[in-house]
Amino acid sequence: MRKTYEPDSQFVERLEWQLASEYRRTKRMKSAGKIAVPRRIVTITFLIGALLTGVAAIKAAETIKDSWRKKIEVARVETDVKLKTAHLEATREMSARAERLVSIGMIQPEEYQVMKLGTEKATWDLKRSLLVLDEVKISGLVPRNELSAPLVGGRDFVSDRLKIEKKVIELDLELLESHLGRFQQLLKTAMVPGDQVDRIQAEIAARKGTIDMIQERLDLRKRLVAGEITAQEVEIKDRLAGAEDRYRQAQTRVETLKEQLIRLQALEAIGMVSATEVKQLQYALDAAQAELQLAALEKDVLEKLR
Amino acid sequence: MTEQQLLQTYRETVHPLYGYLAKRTGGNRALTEDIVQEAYLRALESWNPRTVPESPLAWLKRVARNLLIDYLRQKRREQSPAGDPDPAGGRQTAGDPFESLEIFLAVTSLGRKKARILEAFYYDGLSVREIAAEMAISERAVEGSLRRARQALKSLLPHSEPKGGEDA
Repeated sequence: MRKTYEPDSQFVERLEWQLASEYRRTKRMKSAGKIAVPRRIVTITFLIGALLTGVAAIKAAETIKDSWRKKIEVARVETDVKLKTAHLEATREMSARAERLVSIGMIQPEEYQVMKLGTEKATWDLKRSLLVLDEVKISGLVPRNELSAPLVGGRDFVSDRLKIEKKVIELDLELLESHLGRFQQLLKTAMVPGDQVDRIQAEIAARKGTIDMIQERLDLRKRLVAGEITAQEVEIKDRLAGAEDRYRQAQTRVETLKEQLIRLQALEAIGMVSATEVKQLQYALDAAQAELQLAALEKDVLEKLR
Repeated sequence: MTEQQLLQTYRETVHPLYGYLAKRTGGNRALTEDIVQEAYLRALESWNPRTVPESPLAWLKRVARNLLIDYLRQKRREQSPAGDPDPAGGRQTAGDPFESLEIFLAVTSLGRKKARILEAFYYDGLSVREIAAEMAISERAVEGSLRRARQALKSLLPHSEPKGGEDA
């Protein structure tokens, strides 16, 4: 037989895997859904089902090409949801254990706070995956995250995902701010070096910048959905916002590194640190400055486009 | 039907089903894979311990063939006069005109008996003797039917000549 008429071995394996998964899924659903239903309801359901099957048959020819990809994508996201669920359960357990330990003074409250934050982040992470699953089930396509992406089944999944993204960063920020307060106290008593506080401040500034950027994206999306601006305008504005964010972040990094370099050079002069350490920091500063220039260039180009 | 039985049936039928369909799609891999996959998913929905067909391969072939015809008809309806004339969205490059989806669609529109005999001869590669045995008719009758089917197809496809000619 000619090779054209032979299936690809990868296709054969994938389909076998898919059939086995579908078989198990159907079986699980059947066993989970076994409840006593009145005969009348069964009859009505059957009639509705028959009508729907008719409609589905008409649509079948259209959807046939996408069905394989859709099922694969749904299976992928379902797996992701399972993993995230398991992760959430594990973090919940750890958090509960930490709560017990902190109550008897075995661990620091800060450690418990980190665990608690981990649980909250895992919860939002799962919510995000469930959102993706909903979208994939409706569209059958890999979700699009561009601001100019269309609504799916009348739902604005892009905004929903952005809100979750923002929430997660806000949680991070909350933790960093509590760390900063504690470190500032410790700095007064010279228990921690000053650069640690600088680093936290830089991270806080970066998180705040990202939150602002997400909020800007949410506003843009809202205006697009309301029909106030076109998809093209959104695309340029979004890219510009991204470039501005990268510029801000690079600027913060450059400033922090410059301060650190001055301190390190002073320590090098009195022989407290080696020249290699200073050189390393100098390289990091050069890289940050290059990033800053690149972001400025990008901003410039996009502003002209606007 | 247990999972093991399902997979066993799958392994036994996937190659012949793919071959059966690929000959009809002119070797269009993407289309063949989509339809093969859809046929098995339909089987998964339809088959249960009481309704597993006696010949799963025959069932799958029939479903796959119907899916292909539905798909091609749908595509043809969607085509505008100035649009892409190829129902597969990409013209077949193989030289054999019988590998064309358009010809397959024309074959299926000839009527059940003519389509069956042409498909058996050209797509499935059966000999006149084998077709005669399968259809329980004489070899002479098969030859006559083949000739008439070819003529009917020729009138549908004025620019194409099926491989094998009148003496096939």
